[in-house]
Amino acid sequence: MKLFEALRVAFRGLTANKMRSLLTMLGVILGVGSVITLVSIGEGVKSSISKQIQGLGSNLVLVTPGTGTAGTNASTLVGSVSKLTYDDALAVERHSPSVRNVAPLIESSATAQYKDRKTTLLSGTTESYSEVRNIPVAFGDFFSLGDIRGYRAVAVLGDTVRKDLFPGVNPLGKTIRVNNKDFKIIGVMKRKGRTLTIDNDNRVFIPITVAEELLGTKQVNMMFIQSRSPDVVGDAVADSKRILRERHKKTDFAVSEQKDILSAFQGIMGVLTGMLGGIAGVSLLVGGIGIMNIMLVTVTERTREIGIRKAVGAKRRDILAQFLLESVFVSALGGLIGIAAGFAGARLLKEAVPRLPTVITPWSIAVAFLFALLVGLFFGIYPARKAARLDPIEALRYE
Amino acid sequence: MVIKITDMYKNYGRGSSAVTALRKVNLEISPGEIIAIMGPSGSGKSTLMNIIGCLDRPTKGIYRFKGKNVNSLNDNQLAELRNKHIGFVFQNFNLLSRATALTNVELPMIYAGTPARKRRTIAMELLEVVGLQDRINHKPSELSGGQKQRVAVARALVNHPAVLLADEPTGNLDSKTGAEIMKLFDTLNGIGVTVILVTHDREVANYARRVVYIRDGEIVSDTRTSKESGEGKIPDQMPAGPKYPPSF
Ligand SMILES: Nc1ncnc2c1ncn2[C@@H]1O[C@H](COP(=O)(O)OP(=O)(O)OP(=O)(O)O)[C@@H](O)[C@H]1O
Ligand SMILES: [Mg+2]
Repeated sequence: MKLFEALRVAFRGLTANKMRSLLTMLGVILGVGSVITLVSIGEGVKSSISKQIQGLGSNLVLVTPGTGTAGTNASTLVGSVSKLTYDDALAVERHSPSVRNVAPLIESSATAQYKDRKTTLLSGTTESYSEVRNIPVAFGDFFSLGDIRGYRAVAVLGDTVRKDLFPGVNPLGKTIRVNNKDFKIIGVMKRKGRTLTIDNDNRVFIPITVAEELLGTKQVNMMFIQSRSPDVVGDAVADSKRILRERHKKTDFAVSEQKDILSAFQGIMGVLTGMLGGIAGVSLLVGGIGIMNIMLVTVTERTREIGIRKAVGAKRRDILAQFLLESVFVSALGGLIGIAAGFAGARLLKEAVPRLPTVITPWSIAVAFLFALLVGLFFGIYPARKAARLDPIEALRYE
Repeated sequence: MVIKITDMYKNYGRGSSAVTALRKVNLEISPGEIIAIMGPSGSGKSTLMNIIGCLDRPTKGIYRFKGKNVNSLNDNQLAELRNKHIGFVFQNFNLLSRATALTNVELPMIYAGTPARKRRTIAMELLEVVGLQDRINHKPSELSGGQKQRVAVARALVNHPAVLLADEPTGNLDSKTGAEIMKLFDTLNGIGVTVILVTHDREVANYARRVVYIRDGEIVSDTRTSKESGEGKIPDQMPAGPKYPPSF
C-alpha cells in the first residue's frame, strides 16, 4: 500500500471521532506550547541581560569581594566576606600601567527626601564612575576629585529619583536629605532603563568619602576597573590581582572581565532555560501517554475493522502504518497548533508582564515539534504493533 | 488441482475444553468447479472454509493452494494470497461500517496497490454487476441485508480471484434475493471461477455440481451430480449416523 493511501486511511480514522482526536491532540498542543513559552522566557531574560553585560564595554573589569565570577557567588548577595576599600582602588589605579580608571562603589539602601520621601539606592563612588560605566550626566555635573577629597555633601541624582522627587522642577542647586544629611544637587544622570525588575535609575550618587562616613563603613561592594584599551584588559586583570593580593596577603576577591561575566551568566541561564524546557517537556510526555491510551482504545474498538482489512489482504505493515500514522498525525497536528499556542503564550506573557522579556528561538520550535513527533511515534508503536499482530480470524470473531 | 487438502485436522483450545473441529479431512477441488459444503450446525464447515480461504491454519495436515504448500507461508504471504487469489463472502457480510459501499468494494484493491482511478472504475463496474449502481455512496447501515450481501460479493470479486468462497451466502436473504446471488455465482462459475459455498439450503446446493457433506468434522460423503439431473436430488433429511452415506 502506498504512503498516500495509508495517510488517507489514517486520516479517515481520525475524523471518524473528531472530539476524541481533538482532546488527545490537546495534550500535545499544551505540551509544545508550554515548551515554547517557557523557553522563550529563559531566552528573553538571557538576551536582555546579556545585552546589558555587553553594554558594560569590553574594556571593563569587575572586582568583587569573595571568590568566583562576579555576580555568581553568594557572597555578593549576602554581604562581603573580605574588605575591598577605596585605598585598594587607588592602589590599583596608581600602580597598573594598563588601568585608566577605577571606580569603587559603596551601596546601601537609603531614604531620600525633598518634599516627598523615596527609598533609593545610595551609591558612594568616585569621579571616574560616569566615564567608567559610560553613563553620561544629563545636566549639571558629576562630582570631582575635589568634592571627594573635601568631603563635600553633593549629590547626583538618577533619573527616577529626579522624576519622583522633582516633578517639573529643576533639581540643580536644591537640597535633598538622605539619611538625615543634606546634600546639594549638582547633577542628574542620563536615563539607563531597567534590568528585568531592577530600576537602574533609582540611585543617588555621592562622593565615596562622604558615603564612608555616612554609612560607617570603608567596605566597598565592588570596583569597576577601566583598562586603557580593550587589548590590555588581560594585563589590567593580572595587575589588579597582583596588587590586591599583595595588599590583602591572600586572594579574598574575584577579578572578572566582561566576557567572563557574560559566559558565566549565559551558562547559568542555559541551565535554567533547559530546566524550564525540561519541565514543559514532561507535559509533552504526558500528552504522549494520552495518545497511547486513546490508540489502545481505538485498536480494541476497531478489532473487527482490522480483521476485515486483513481478511481482504492487508499486511502487517499496512495495519501498522495505518495506526502509527494516526498517532503521528495527532502529534504532528498537535505540534503545529502547539507552536501557534507557544507564540500566543509568549505574546500574552509579554503583554501581561511587560518587564519580562520573551524571545522565541527557532531551535525551541524545532526541538518542541520534533519531540512531539517522536512522542507520537514512540507512544504509537505499541498500539499499532498490537493491531498489526492481530490474528485475522480472531479479529473477525471479536464482538 | 486448485485446492488439495491431505489428512487435515483442526483443534480448538487445549486440555479438557479441546474441540476437534476437523478430523482427517481429504479434499481435492479442480479449477472451475462449483461445490457446496453441507452439514449440521457445528460440524466444522466454517472452520474448513476459513482454512481454505487462508484465514486460518490447520493444526495438522497439508493444504496446497494452486500447488503451493500454504502451511509454510507466513502471515504476509497469506495476506497476499487472500488478496490476489481468493474472494471471500462472509456469512455476516463483514463490511466496514463507516465506509461507503464503493469504498468497501475498493478495499482489496487498496492493498493490492491498484491506482485510485482504476480502483474506482472497477468498483463501479462490479457494483453495477450486482445491481447496486444507485447505492454506491450508501454506508452498510443504510443498506438492506441483500444489498449488503451484494456489496460483499462485489468486494470478493474485484481482484479477479481464482476461488470464490461463500459462507452461507443466502442465509440472511429471502428466497428471491438468494436466487439472484446464486445466479451470479453460477455465471461466475461459467467464466471459470472456482466457487465453494457453505449452505444449509438444499435449493442453494442444487446449483452445485458437487456436494460435500461434513459431520463432526469429518467428510462423510462427496457426491458429484450433473446440473441437468441436479434439481431435487438432494434429500430433505440427511441420514443420521456418521458412517451412513447419504442417498441421492
Ligand atoms: N474459535 C473457536 N474456539 C473453540 N471452538 C471453536 C471455535 N470455532 C469453532 N469452534 C468449534 O468447532 C466446531 C466447528 O465449528 P464451525 O464454526 O466450523 O461449525 P459450522 O459447521 O460452521 O456450524 P454452523 O453451521 O452453525 O455455522 C464447533 O463445535 C465449534 O464449537
Ligand atoms: Mg458456520
